Amino acid sequence: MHISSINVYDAKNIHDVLNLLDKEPGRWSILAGGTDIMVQLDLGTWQAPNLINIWGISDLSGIRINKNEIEIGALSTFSEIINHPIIKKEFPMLIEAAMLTGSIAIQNRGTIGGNIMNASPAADTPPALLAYGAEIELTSKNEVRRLFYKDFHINYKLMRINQDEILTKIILPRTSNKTIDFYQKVGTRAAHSISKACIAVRLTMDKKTITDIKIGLGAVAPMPIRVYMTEDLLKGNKLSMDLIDQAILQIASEIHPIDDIRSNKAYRLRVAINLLRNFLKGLL
Amino acid sequence: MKKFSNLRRVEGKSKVTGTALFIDDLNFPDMLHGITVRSPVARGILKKIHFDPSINWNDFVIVTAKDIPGQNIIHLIKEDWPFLVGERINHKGEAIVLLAHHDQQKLSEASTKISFEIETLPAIFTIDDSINKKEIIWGDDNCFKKYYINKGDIDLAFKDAFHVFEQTYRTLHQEQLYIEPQGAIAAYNELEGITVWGSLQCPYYVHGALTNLFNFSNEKVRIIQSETGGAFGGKEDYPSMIAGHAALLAYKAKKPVKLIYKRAEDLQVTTKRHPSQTTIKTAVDEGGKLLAMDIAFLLDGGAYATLSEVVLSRGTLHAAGPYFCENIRIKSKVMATNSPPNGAFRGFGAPQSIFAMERHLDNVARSIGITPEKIRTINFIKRGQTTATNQVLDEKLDFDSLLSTTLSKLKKDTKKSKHKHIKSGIGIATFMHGAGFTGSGEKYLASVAGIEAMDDGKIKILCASTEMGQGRNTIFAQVVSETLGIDPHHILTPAPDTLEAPNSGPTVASRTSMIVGKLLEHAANGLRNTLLAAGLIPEKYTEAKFIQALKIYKKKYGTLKSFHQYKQPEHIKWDDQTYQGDAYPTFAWACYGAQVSVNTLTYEIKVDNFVATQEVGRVLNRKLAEGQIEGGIAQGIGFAIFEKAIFKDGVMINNSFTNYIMPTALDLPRIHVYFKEWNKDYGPGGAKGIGELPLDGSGPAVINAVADALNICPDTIPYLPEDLMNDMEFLK
Repeated sequence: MHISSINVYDAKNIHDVLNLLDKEPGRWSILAGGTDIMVQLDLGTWQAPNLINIWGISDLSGIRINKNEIEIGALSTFSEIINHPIIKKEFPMLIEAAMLTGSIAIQNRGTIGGNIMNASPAADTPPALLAYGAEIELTSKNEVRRLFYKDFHINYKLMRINQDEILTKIILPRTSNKTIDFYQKVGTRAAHSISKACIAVRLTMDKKTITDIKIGLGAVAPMPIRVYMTEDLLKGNKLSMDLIDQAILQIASEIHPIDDIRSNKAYRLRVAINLLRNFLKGLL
Repeated sequence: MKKFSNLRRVEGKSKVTGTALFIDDLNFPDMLHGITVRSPVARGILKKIHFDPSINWNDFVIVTAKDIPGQNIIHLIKEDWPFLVGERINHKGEAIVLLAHHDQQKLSEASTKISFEIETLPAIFTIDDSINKKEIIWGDDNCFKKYYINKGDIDLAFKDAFHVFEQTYRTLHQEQLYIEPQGAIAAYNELEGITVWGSLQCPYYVHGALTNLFNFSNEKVRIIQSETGGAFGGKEDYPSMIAGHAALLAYKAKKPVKLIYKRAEDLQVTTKRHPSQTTIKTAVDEGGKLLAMDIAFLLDGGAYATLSEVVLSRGTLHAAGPYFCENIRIKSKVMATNSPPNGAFRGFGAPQSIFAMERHLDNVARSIGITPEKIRTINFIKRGQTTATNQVLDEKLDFDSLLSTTLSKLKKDTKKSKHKHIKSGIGIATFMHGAGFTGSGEKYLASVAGIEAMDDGKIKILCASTEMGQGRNTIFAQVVSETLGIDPHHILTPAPDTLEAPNSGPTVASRTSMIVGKLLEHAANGLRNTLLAAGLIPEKYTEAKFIQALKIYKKKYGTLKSFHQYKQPEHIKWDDQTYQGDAYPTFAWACYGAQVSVNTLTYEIKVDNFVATQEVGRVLNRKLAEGQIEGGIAQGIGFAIFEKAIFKDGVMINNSFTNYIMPTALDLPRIHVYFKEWNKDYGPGGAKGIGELPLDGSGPAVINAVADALNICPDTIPYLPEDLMNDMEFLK
């Protein structure tokens, strides 16, 4: 589709957006930072003719720190997240993911909500959000609801969102427990890079026993995923080389990477395994 | 003589501030836009073109092969490359129909409403299939050109040799990735004929192509270079195609037509570096001395001959490296396949054959238990010795010193990684690059360049050599101002316009500073001598006096121009038939070294440090020279470990910046550049060619370092993490 045939409606506030989505569900797509749409328009692959421009709507941006959680407005840019001192301290993997997204220009314009809603299996922030047990807030004219982010993506570009809803917030649960984080993106180069495999882990340990663990992965399945069976295998058990080997076998059957233009199945699988193994071995 | 070797880039300010006008910045009244409709198949016979009746085609200017007034062949070396498909389709993406309209959206919609009836024929996409004649797609045997070089008696030398080692090496396509995509604007009127503005390297190539296309006399075609945003060889032959298309549309429309490629289109249809396959068999004695080299060098030329035979020639002439060997045989061929023609790319065949030789030497060294430095030191060619073509090298030549400079800077930066999964390695490559055209090329070109005095006392440079980011404007301003003893701001360096610029040859082959710069030095001396003879300046003069003299002369005689034509020095002897003799007037000599770290968990390769030592005669302008070296190394690192063009049906399918992975600044190491200035007998003030050199050696230096880090033997580039993983699994 050529840019001149795109119809853009500039929404003034959130009510404006919700009214339009309510009135004509399914007709509109959302334009936030536009960093993905711009590329698809240039390639001629963009299909949706009607866009609601939400850029600049203040109700949707801003980062709020509560006692038990941090609320990140869906329109927060990567740069805003990178520069937030409390996120930096408590959720360093999100910072790392944001810093590895595109380039500085993309980080200034791209939003965390857009990163989620574009639903690329290779997006950089979703694995971190999954490992942190994030929730999301979806809003329609008649309802505001919360959902665990892990349940949001169903399949490739398929999400649990209704046609009259918009993603409004990402919520990160704060914890006072001592946690260990591990994030690594393996991309095609150091910047302007799309992930070939990405892993994010947050765990808590008591002596050598893993008491809690969440593992989020990108670019190894049709959507960003958690590996629950691998987590269950590790949880509550004393860390040993034997346990690590079992976890590796488990994760290998739990992820489903593919061959594509950027890499291949064998490489993605091997790298995911190597990174998890090396991280866990470091905790022995 | 006052030197201006710190002269800043002449057009730098206009580029940085955005006032420089690139081809897409130019607009003309009533101008139409053009678009190209292309073949969906790799090989076949075009039977019919369907125009969907839902479109009012009367609104559009439509051009097919039938509209061509002259010859439907791009005039280059072999006459085989059509502007538009007549009947036979030889690669996917080949142009069939051209459309023009003032509305770009209508144009892109209409372009999807044209379909073709094609009798599909089986296509071939690999060198092997082409050599094995799986299908005959070009001539009798699919071979565009072959060369044979023989020195000594290799069969005898292989008999009883201490150690014989044979291996095949491959390099894949590489895209030039100039920042500005290809584009041209054409206008036509009966009086002046065709005028084309374009982003291009070689105005007279386009001129020649268009006179043939229209059967016009030379005066009826005018080519003007617009500011050109990078080329790297990619705008050597292809601009003839796009300029021809724009001109055909403008001729039919009787209106100016602009034709600019989008990046995706540019990546799919324009030329790339030739994929190569080189098999090297060598014999060495116990100490590692080379006794015989048998080299088979093959290139994939794509569907048409274009520049392939000259690319093959340069690759062939660089295949034996800077090593002395009594017995050498080189057989080379460039083969046809059903993909868009491969063409010129910085290095022009040399990076391919040099990669093979430099990897091979490391492999031989390893197999007989000596170091990569040692095998090179033993075999370096020296002054007075002969190359593969029996060219006697008669200039200062001290590879040991290049090697020791590189090694000393390389080792100093070495530090051991604290992570167990990071392995580091060091690699070197030693090589040369012939400056200027091969063999008799410069003799046949007989280039002309000159200068002209203007009424205001300024001096204008007249030549067809183009600025494409490499520094032509600055170097020429510097050479002329140094020769005349006046400040460079008096020198005007307009982009070539064939109406007034003489043919100084194409802007290729690392020849612009050395060959054309020298012509300008002569022309400037000629102009000064004219003023001396006229008694307007004394032997020693001030700048003010000189400028005043120019003005007086102009007033009195009307014009003051000085031209000089290239004449090949008597001592250069070359035989095109036997490929014996002086392949190049001189060479640049170099030793590059890379230090890499390899992550054995992710198989990522990082180049941590790079040292480039070279002898290039006089360094005219240090900043520009360093820029050429650093940029070429960046491209060479891309060639080695990042840039993989993925092909399907003979065309590139990762045709975007997102998926064709060019390294960014963050992926590149600090590059240390060292120049030696031994030989100053060639270009202006003693400068030799420099532009292509850095691409030749950076790939093998990096891959040799990877091999060193992990004790593996990569033989194909680009070498990506996926390939490294496979090689490591194989080791287990």
